Amino acid sequence: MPAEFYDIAQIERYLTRGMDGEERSGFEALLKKDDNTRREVEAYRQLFEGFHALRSENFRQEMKSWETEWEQANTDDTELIEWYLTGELTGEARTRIENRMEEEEQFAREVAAYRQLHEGFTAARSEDFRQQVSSWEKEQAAVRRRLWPRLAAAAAILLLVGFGFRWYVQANFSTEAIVATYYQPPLEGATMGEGPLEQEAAGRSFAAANRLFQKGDYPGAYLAFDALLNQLPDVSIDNLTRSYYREQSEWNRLLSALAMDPPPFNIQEEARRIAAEDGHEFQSQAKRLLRKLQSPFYRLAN
Amino acid sequence: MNKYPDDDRRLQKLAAGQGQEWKSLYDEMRSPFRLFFIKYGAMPPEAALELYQEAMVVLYRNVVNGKLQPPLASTLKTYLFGIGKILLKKKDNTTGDWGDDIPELPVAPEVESQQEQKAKAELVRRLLDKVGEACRQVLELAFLKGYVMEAIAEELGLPSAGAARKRKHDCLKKLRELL
Repeated sequence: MPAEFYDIAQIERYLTRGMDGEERSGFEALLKKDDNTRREVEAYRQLFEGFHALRSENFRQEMKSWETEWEQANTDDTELIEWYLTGELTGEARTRIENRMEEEEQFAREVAAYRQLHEGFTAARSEDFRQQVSSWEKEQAAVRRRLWPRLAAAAAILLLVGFGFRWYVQANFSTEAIVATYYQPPLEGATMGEGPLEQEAAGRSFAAANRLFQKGDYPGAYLAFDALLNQLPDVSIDNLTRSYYREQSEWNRLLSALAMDPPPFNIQEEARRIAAEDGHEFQSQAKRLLRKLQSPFYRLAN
Repeated sequence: MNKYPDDDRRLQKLAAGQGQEWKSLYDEMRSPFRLFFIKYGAMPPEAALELYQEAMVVLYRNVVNGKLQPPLASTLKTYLFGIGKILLKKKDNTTGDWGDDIPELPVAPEVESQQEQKAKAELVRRLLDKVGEACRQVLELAFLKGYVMEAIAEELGLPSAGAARKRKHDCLKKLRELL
């Protein structure tokens, strides 16, 4: 059949898996009814299969050259011996190696040599591992040793911080500290003890109460200030002096009560009352005292 | 979905007939194949090596003629070992003690006898000797070395890939006429 009457590209596609779907089924239908096309396809099939076979032969040749490299490396027996020594080979394969050892002295010597190496490597690995374990132990000990001074320093810092904090809280928020800070001794020469008798008596009571306070006899001071406060409304003194004694006594009674355990009245309520009284000499101190009493540090310190 | 994307990529390179890729595969699979067939096929080491080369040829043929294409249903290693199993069964009619290492292949590799292959190759070799040097060159580049048309055009100094394609078909027809 002249070449002009068939499409060689189409046959090539058909034979080399380049044709599928409708084109393939259409071409196969043509092959069924057209003897000439079928003959041509079979002829070309021979050619393509021949090319494939030839290509495979070339590949086989190429493999031979690769195999030459393996032969030169001469590692096949080594590999075999390694599989034998590592227990990869069992049953018939193992027996075959053992038979070969009996038959070939050189091979038996090779196996013996590799066995020595293999056992040596195994022992070395074990030794390495033992040393590794030992070095891990040393490292751990060194880490512990290196860590100890740091831990000690950290602990010391923590202790210092802790002590410092505790000291700060105690110095500023303990009842004793607050009482000492907020207590205001009577001004010298301002006891207003001179003058009418009742005024002098009030002055002496006020001074006696302060002395009790300064001695740390807070229950005594509390009673003394409280008594004075009860007397003051009826004492015949001027208003300025009365206010002075009242405000001083109220504040010192509050501080005396604060120093007592338990306080004889509600400290915060009294402090709030003084803080709310405009013109009270201790109004601002009462406000500050309230803030301290409501602070968590106060609860921590007491 | 590709189950073995790495092997699929490798298959594409192998299909392009890249010699270095085939050598790398050959060197990589040689030891495990030998061990497997010495161990489970109870083969002498020399026979295992022969079987390996035969299996590689079958793999090569199935890859370059497009019978094996991505996405692969098994790894290339499994496929190659599967070819080895089939070849061994054909040869010795043995069942082998394979264990579960190599599962049955989802797509059986096409295995032809070496004799059959030799006859087919010999036919084309004779025809190539007769077709003339120019045609021999283009046909060898196209069908034995797997060059694409652009590469053939460049190799033979032809003006375009189309010119290379035309020459290839002309030469193929000449070969056909020689049959």
